[in-house]
Amino acid sequence: MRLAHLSDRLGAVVLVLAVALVRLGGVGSWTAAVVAFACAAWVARHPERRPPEHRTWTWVLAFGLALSVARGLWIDDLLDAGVDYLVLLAAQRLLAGTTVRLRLQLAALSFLLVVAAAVVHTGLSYPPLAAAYVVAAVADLMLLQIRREAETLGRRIAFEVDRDAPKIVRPVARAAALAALAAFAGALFVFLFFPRFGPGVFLHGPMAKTARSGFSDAVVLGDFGRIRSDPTPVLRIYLDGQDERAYVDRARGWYLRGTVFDTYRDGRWARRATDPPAHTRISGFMAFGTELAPEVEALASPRGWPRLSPAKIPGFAASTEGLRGRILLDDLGVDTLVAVDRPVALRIRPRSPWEEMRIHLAVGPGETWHAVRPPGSVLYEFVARTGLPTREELSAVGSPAVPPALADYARPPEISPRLAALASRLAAGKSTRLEKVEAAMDHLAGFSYTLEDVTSSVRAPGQDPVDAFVFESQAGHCEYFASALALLLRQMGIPTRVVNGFQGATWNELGGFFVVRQADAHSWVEVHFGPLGWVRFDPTPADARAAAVGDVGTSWWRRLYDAMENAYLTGVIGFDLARQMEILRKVAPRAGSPRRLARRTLEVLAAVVGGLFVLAWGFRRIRTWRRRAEDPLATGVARVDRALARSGRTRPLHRSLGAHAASLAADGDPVAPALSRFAAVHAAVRYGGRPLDGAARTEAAKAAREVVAACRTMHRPSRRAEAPADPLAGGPRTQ
Amino acid sequence: MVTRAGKLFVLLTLAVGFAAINTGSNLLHALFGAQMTLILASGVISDAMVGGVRIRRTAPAPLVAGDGGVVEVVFENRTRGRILLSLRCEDDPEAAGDAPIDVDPAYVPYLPPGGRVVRTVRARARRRGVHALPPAVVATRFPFGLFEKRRRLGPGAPALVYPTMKEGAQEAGDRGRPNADDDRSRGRRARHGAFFALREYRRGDEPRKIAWRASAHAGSLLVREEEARGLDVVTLHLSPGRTGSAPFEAAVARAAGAARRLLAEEGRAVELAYGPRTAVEAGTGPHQLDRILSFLATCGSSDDPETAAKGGEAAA
Repeated sequence: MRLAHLSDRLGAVVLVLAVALVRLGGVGSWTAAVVAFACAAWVARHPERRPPEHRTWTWVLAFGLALSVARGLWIDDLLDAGVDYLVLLAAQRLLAGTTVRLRLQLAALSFLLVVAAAVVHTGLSYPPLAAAYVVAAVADLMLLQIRREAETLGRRIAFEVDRDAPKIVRPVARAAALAALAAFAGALFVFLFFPRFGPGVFLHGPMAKTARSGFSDAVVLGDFGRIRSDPTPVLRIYLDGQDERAYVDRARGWYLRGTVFDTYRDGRWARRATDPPAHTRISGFMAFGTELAPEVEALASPRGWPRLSPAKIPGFAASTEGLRGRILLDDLGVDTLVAVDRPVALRIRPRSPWEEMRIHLAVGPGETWHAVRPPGSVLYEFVARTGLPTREELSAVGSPAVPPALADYARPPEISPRLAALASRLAAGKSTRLEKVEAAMDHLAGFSYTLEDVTSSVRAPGQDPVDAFVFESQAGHCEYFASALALLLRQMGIPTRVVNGFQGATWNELGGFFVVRQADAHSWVEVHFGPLGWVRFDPTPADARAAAVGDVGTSWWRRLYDAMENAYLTGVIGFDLARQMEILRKVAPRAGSPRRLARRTLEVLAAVVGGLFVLAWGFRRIRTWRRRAEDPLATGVARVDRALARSGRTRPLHRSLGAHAASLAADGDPVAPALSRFAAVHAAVRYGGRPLDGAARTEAAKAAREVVAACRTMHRPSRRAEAPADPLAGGPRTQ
Repeated sequence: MVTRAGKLFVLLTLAVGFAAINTGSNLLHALFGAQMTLILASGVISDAMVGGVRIRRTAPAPLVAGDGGVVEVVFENRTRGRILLSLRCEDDPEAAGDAPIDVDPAYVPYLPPGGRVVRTVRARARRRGVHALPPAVVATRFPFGLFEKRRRLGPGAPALVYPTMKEGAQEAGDRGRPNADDDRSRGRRARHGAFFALREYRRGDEPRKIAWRASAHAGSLLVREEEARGLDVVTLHLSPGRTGSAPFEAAVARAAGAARRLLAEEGRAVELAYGPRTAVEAGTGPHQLDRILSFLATCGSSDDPETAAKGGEAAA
């Protein structure tokens, strides 16, 4: 075995893990990753056949650098280009790394990749991959150190190192595992107790944002369907202190309102910069309405602080039905906040004083909530109005006049004459706004739902996508349905807007939260009903949509993964100064009794120590079982020798079991018969050609047990004790 | 001592710590903690490696000034259950200076608990005499090669360094030549005389001259002595001098060279006179050469009475 080959294979593993970490973190390209994986596979398979260090490599790397710079500046994100270059550099170091110097450079490059991944990778795959990386990198560094000595001290030492390689591997693996364990313990300690500052006071700079389709200031029809089957969670809802199970079924019908679009042109929805709605502050929340007429009212709470609830709207019986909760929203790439149904009040829950300073909540046009914040997830509380007006209440509104502030929402864009004609035909004879909405909804109900963008394929050049959807394809996904309804209603002069968000949340009983996934992304319409405000209408056929999307992320394994990821996000990624202080308060001695640790801490410590003890015990037991399984006869001899030595009948080194049994028999020792039986089995198997089958094993084990029992219970004859000590007597040993 | 890789690692650790504090990223904090622990673990493991080994360096045979020889380095793992890895024994770089002997590093990649490994390495001696082997250290860069941990060993064992053997003109002290009828083609065995007597074995005697049967009867080793028939004794004269004096050192080197030529190549009987006295009685063979070289290695030193009497002047 050549140590260098083993070390290079380990280097390949290190490279693969580091590249996987950054790639799964969403940075770098798959092309660079595949190149690196191919290099690693080649080195792992043929460690002895590698291209020598050559000047060509310099040109290849220079070309790669130039390409990366060009990519970073003109085409891609600079971070992606930089990571790709690092990956290629590391792969080259592995491929050409016949010297320790190059291999150490690979170790340094792979570490840089892991650091980059720590910044961008918030997924659950980071901890196991990083743990594997630490173990492999530590073992790699150990082997590299030994290789370096061999390289420095000459061929003779290199030969000795290779000769001893089989012996070196196990202790190095053990040392690497121990060092990695220590590293994990250190990481945990610093993670728990090193104070979090994170003010960004040293450096300020933009970081990469995670852009997700469907959430931006402008949406092009057709883009939204791309993410329809993605089970990745987008947000998690926690209904603290409420009976979550009561909401399990209702959650499937939740509409989580996100971005509101008011302007349509050429298949593109956008938002105009209009004045935000009136808002005020109540109990730390930012709420819709004015101070005199807020949309939220503070109710008395048994705990002392006020509990917010949607204010009553005359003529709208269910207007006070509300929902309160917390939402942990992943980085959507935009500053829009998402909440259930119609969120009327929001409050950011900063996870550190620094975060509190850096997050600013705002309400934008179209009653859209925004949080200007650093990149990353955000946690906030919401109070939402979940009740909807009944059909009678909507009918009672009649056909209210459009207020000047909403005139833009009712102004129809120029699509096509036939769309206007269709709208006129649908509105004909309808007196109330509700009837007109229902007429448009009924017209669209006959259309089919599909995730395929068939409209784009049938659309004539210059034709508006909505016109093509309504008159040509009559098939599409939610964006087409919502756009068609909104534009038809605008043709009728009704204030309407399109909302992008998510529809439906799934209860995760393992984690105790509701999860909303990318696949739940949805579009619907809000229609203004005078005093009742904006009312939601969803023209997309619900059944067809559910059938097309399928059961995404409902399996038990998926729920388990989501629960673990949630625990990771809240417990690790979201670990903050407040929690640190909480832990320190628990760990620190209580006031007035400085020498006493908190009981909880002692319990945890006892559990950890106990767990380690059980692990160590189990490991020893497994090792013993394995040893017995390998050679039960040898372990039997060792056991017998130990028993003989303990009872003062030590077998001399030069004496066989049979001879010792005869010697004891001559002294009249009662242990002699049992020992003689064991010796007979042992001799038959070892030297007599008897196979070591089940019967022999049983017989040997039984005889060994008899010897041990006899040694324990039967005393040695006194005459033997007076005999001169055998100078060759040895201690217990294996045979 | 921090290695180059260690400096880079410390720099990276500081950078990650800086980034962790700046951004508040929990994963960077964890990485920073892992790196700090690895630095700590590196020190602890290195210390355990160099602390668990016992090392002895000895010269099994005399060295030759200007040429060298070999030094045996014995590594012993004195721990009960700990395997020691990647140990290097080398001259203490801080104490080497102008040491009369340089010893190459000896390296052991693997040393089992209670195990013992002997490594033979080259040594170079600068001047003749009896010198202690240079102070040594046991060092390791294990586990990560980030830091080098060293432990100083005790004073080095003494080593005898023969003088340089310089081939020169015929020595002035020759007072005999081989017989004219000496036929060299018959070999050195033919030049040996008949059996003369038995004597007690002395260290350095050739094993083939041991009279085994007689030794068995006597209960101690006896050696056959033969008449040195057919040979004249060549006497090498060396005037006393002081170690370090260039003419004296040159004379010593010439004497050593002549002794080697006469004894090892020509098979002559040689004795060495140092001033007025005979320093080494006449004899033949490789062990006579050892005796002469041993004397030459130490003559002229401060504790040599002839040197003191001569007052430091040297001549050959």
